[in-house]
Amino acid sequence: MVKEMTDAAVQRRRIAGPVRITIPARIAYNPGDLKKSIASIAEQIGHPRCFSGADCFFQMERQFALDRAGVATAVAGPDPTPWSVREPDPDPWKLSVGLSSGVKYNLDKVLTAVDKVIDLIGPHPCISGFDVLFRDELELIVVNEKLEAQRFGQQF
Amino acid sequence: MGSSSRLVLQELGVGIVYSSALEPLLTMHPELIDVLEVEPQTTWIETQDPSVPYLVRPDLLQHIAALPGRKLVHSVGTPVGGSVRANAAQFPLLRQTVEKLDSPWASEHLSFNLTQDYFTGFFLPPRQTAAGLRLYIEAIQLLKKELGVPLAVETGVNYLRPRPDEIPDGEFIAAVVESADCGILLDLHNIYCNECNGRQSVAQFLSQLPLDRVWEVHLAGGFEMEGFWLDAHSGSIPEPLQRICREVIPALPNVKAIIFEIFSSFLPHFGLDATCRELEKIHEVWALRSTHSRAMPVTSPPRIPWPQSGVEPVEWEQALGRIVIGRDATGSLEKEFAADPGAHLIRALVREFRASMVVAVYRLSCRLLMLALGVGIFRALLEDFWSHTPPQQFAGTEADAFADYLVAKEIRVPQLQSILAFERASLATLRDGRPRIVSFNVDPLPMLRALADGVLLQDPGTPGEYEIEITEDGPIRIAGILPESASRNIPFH
Repeated sequence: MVKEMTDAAVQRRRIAGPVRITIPARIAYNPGDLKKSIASIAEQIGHPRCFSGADCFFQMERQFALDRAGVATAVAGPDPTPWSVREPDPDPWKLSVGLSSGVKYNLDKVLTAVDKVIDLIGPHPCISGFDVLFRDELELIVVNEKLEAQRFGQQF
Repeated sequence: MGSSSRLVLQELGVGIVYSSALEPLLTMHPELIDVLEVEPQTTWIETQDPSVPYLVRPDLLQHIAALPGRKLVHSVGTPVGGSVRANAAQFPLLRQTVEKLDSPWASEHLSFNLTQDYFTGFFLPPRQTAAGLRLYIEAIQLLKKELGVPLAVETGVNYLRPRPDEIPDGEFIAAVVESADCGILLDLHNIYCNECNGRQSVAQFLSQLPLDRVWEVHLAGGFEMEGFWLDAHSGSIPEPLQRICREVIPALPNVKAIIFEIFSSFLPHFGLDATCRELEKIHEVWALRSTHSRAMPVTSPPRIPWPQSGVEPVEWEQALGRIVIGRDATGSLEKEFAADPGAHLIRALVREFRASMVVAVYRLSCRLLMLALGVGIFRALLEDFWSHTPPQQFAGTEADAFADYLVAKEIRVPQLQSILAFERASLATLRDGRPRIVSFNVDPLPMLRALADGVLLQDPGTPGEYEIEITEDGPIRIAGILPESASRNIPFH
């Protein structure tokens, strides 16, 4: 249904130019967040609070981003240790990429590996769905320390 | 203004540090909150324009002023425990906030967060020597003059090991406040942390303080991490600290407010109901206070001669700053800090702070990176960024620096640059009110909605020319497609 509507939208665009969505900044900032008062936005981008502990926000966000159901409450209580992080189920992604440890700890090699994998799966200017998940363990594609990508035991 | 020790300040009662997430509590249980403590800089926006470095939204200040209860100003951007002065542009804005909120006094930290070269990303302990004392007295007197109200300085947490070349904690605070003639914001949880982590005991610390100068008390909860008790503001006041409060509060003849601190990141877990219960406990402690303000005789023990030290405050700040922001130790003092487990802890906390600031500001871009590349690679990107860039004082500026880094790295995660451009444009328009247009080569709405929900889009999306125009205000408008076509996907509540 959504796709049909979107096709109609594209048809319309051909007549009327680009599709233009106009949104006030307060609404555009943090899509999906229902509590976007000016106060909450200012707190987000302002000076950190008086605080000398561990800010758990990154860990919460990591949990949220890794939780396909989008349930942030899965984070363990107010005590952030140990963090419970569930790795996502790889099923929704078509490919998984494992990096050997020598690559993982060298950022330049990691980014080169990202480029290689994108080249491998066929970069397209309109691609939006990123159907590759980089994981620590071997799955379908592995990039070795020489930055050779291998799939199902075969060299590409 | 007379001597602070002879001031008779207005009694305010029990309160809590303001965050927008607490507003439902103000409506549901106004009887629990007599006073809101406001940290002004947390509501400012840094502009990058040296002529107007900070933006203060008058509607936000008005909103806070209209909330129930008295207000107290607790500055978090002009600490007085360092040799480098904060940006003076903060002073008139702070004074304006003090006046607008009718704050009977203000408070600031006896810590430092700035070296000659960079922000440290954390309040760090001052150099507790006679040379440090002279600097901090000057800083306190300057801030008192700029704010125009009595000033109290907060007793800080210190994760470092005690050193033989520093004045003991309580004695140092006593010397500062007596010399600068100011009040004390006694953060009992900080002092409790210090005792748990091997510094002075609470009893020893308090025995060295002029207790008649304590105008305000902070209470909070924490948790243990890597063998340290953290001043995490994460929830319940520890039971041993509650017992200490019941003994200490009646001994403070001029205490006018007790403030509970809960960090907003922990509120979703701790909950408003649990926050209410903590406030009820604090009311019970408040009831134990002495009802007669008086200048108590100071019963300080005989002072031991202060240690002589060749480490100057500037040297202290630079060395500690370098270690906690992750630079390698070079000089001997840096090597001393590098061998201190407390400095290692602070370094880890600074990193969590920095990561939290980035993901809070550019949430969708960070989610896309974490989902597409995995948390390990995202963390490696952050580590690489931190190794090149020192912390920034404001979250928006820190996140902008990371966004610049991502753009320079040309990371080929599909649509990353568009999502990042969209988030940057939204933030820029929030700052300056000017409209901006961001182009996409696929329908952006399903992608934005998916990321808002915390998932990675599987469908590449419909290719075409799409634009999102971000305006200062006004309604959501859609041109080029039927509005109902977009409404199913629109992620903007």
